[in-house]
Amino acid sequence: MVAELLRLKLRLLFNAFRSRRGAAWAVVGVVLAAAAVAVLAAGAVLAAELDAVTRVRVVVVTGVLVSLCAFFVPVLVSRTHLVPPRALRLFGLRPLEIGTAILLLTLVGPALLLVPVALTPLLLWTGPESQLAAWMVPLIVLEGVLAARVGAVIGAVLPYRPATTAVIRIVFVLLILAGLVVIAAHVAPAVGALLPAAWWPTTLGVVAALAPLRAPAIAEWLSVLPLGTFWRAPAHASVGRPDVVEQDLLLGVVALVVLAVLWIASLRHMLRPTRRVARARVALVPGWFRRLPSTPVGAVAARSFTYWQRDPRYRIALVALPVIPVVTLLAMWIAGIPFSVAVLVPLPLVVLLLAWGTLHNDVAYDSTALWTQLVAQTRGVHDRLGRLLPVLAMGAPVVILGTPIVAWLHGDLLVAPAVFGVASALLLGGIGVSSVASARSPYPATRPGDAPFQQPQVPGSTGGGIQAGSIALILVLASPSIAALVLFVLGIPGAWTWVALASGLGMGLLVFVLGLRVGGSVFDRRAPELLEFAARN
Amino acid sequence: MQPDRDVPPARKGPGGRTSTARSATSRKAPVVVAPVSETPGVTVEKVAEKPAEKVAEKPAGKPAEKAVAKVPAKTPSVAKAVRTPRKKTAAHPQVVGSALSVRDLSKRFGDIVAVDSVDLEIETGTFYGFVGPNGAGKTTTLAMITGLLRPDSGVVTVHGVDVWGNAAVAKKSLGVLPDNLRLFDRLTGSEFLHHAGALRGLPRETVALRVDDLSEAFGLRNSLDRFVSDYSAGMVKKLAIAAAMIHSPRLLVLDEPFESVDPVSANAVIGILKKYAAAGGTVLLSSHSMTLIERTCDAVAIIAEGRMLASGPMTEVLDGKSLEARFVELAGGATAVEGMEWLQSYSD
Repeated sequence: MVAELLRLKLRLLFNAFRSRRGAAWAVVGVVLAAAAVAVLAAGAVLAAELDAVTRVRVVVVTGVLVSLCAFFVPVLVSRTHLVPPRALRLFGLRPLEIGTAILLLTLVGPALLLVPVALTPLLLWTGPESQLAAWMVPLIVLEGVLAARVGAVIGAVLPYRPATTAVIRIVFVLLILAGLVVIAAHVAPAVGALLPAAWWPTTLGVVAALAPLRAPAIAEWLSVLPLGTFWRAPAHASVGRPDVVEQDLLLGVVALVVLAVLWIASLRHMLRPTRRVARARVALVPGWFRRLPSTPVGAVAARSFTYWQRDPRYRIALVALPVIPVVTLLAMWIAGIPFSVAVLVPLPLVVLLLAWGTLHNDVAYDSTALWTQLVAQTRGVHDRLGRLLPVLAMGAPVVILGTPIVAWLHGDLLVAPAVFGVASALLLGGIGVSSVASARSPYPATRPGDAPFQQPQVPGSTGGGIQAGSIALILVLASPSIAALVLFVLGIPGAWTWVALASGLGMGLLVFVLGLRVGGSVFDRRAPELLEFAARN
Repeated sequence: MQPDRDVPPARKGPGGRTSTARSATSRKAPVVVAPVSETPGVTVEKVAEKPAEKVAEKPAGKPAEKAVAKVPAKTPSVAKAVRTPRKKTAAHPQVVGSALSVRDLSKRFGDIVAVDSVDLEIETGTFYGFVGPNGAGKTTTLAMITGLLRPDSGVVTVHGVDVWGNAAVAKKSLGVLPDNLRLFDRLTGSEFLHHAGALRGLPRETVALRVDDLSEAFGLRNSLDRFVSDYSAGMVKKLAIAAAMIHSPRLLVLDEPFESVDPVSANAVIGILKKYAAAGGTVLLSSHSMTLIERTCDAVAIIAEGRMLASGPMTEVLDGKSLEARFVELAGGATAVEGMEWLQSYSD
């Protein structure tokens, strides 16, 4: 079987040479690989000339670089699986056998380069550490093969993620360049010494400029990484630091285990059955309809949420809200009102506009599409609930998060209950009043699809009276709470902050529930008339 | 199928058309042919005969209720009195022979009488066509039948349940496609169907399954994720028909379902509707296309100027002529052709 697979892999490799383009790339690859090996070997010979400490540092950096290359080059080069694991499944092999076979086959191919690369340290180490270095060779190859495998799996996914690919490419190039510069900095003094005397002044300048890169901290930092550990273990042994050697070997084992786990996991994923596995049918439910229950309330709410998200007429209301605090604070600053008082205004104002803004005429926004609810005989209460849910979902966090911020800006944390009371009176009361208003007295609104600020082309009422009336009613209902807040801020003795909280929350809840019920029954009674109204406008 | 018991499928001819000899006896709705000039009183009289016949023929029905129902409701107070007893029994809608029964339905907009005491009786399992010239009151009638437009007077019952008195129950068995009304067009097609299903309280999995089937049947599969506002007019129609069907109603009332729908899709929809009618469902559809109505429907009603001119099984209404000829004859469309000689004497 091994021979069979080997033959398969070789055939696949040589097939690359059969097309002109493939052959060109393969030749380029072979030349580059040969050059890399030559450079490494020459480097190893050259490094023998360095002093012991510098040599260790250079080897540490080189080890990290080679490990990075073993992973990143397949990530960036590999685009398909030459031997897809799933293809081997057909021969009745077990997953573990497939994994091992593919690891072995990896060596037959570009990854073969790892072997000469892993052998180069043997050129460098001649002392007692050479035995350790010899032991390290297969480990370097194993780690490299695993890294290349995992890299190739990732590389096969990357064509679908061009942005990620670009980022990886840039990061990889920067890392390699940085590593090469660090190595150059270490090698520079030795190389400089070999150059003719005429070049010395220039060399001295370069060597001096690169001095910071020779800091011992770099190599020490890199020695903590689980990268290139099998390269630096003999190096550390050569300078007599067995404790660091142990640490290196331990980190190396960790790296091997992590890579092996990743490889097995990816293998599992690639070998998963793709046939349709019998399981409960998952309903493909779109958007908000997935998040909300499949009931009339859920339907209206999901539609409402979607419209808040998509319809410019609703979105414009949302866009305007964050501007309000800025404008009001600015206006009151110009008017000379102290900041601690001015800061109390924006939150209730925002909440009021959110609760009242589109909700008080929401039915008119539907235009004649209201028939869908009419033919299903959606109950008024359900309709009201569905429409107010998005407003509540947006308003409640604003109140809950806004209250402490306002209290903090105001300077007295005791104002928080009062602000909360006023804000909830306006939010809940506003929703309640709006729920009745939209069912009882809709007025022509901008039609669906028209620009949000376009006036409806309808003779007669534009709803000014309803707008003013509904806002006034909300304010009147919230007035006990507002009055208590004012008394608290003025410093009148008494538990005004708690009065504001109780009256605001109580009134808000009361109006909310009443508005829901009254609005619901009005809707029930007048639904056909609401549709008729929509058809007229 | 419950409704099938009254209407054995054997009665239907291969084309869905009723075979004449047997249907003449079994169809309870007699042909009421009234020229436009006739006074409304005469029409009412003729209509009033129908329930009596029914009681005699159908022992399974509830005679007492029927008797109450046949009282022509002229004033609103009487109409109320008619509705009240129905409310009690309507909690359990019983399948009776009549899928839709319209009595004395009227609507006026200001001075204009849009619908003038219209009567209509549709039996379960019928594929019923509804034709009339522009502005004849088709859409108004259908809107009142489906609970979208409140009538000035009259009673509409769907499978024995009053649409205006007990809407919650009546509308459960009613699927509606109105004409010229918007859809929630910021939703995607799929969202719109889920919205319709959820409004009817169907479980999510059921809706997903039906959306799958309906989109496949109507050729909307590849457009489900597009916004309804980007749909063409025909696709909007098909989507609305799908939404009308999603809760598998007993009665489908479709206003101009094939307007701007391409012939391939129209045929697919007709195929579905025919199967639905054969299985005991009832279809009432209006159309401008006489040939389409003549080809597909078992029975037909012709309306003009708010009055029902003729209604009954197709063969009897047609009386040997084509529907178009019969329609022009009844609605008097030929008169406008005379005059206008100036159009033939070109002015340049």
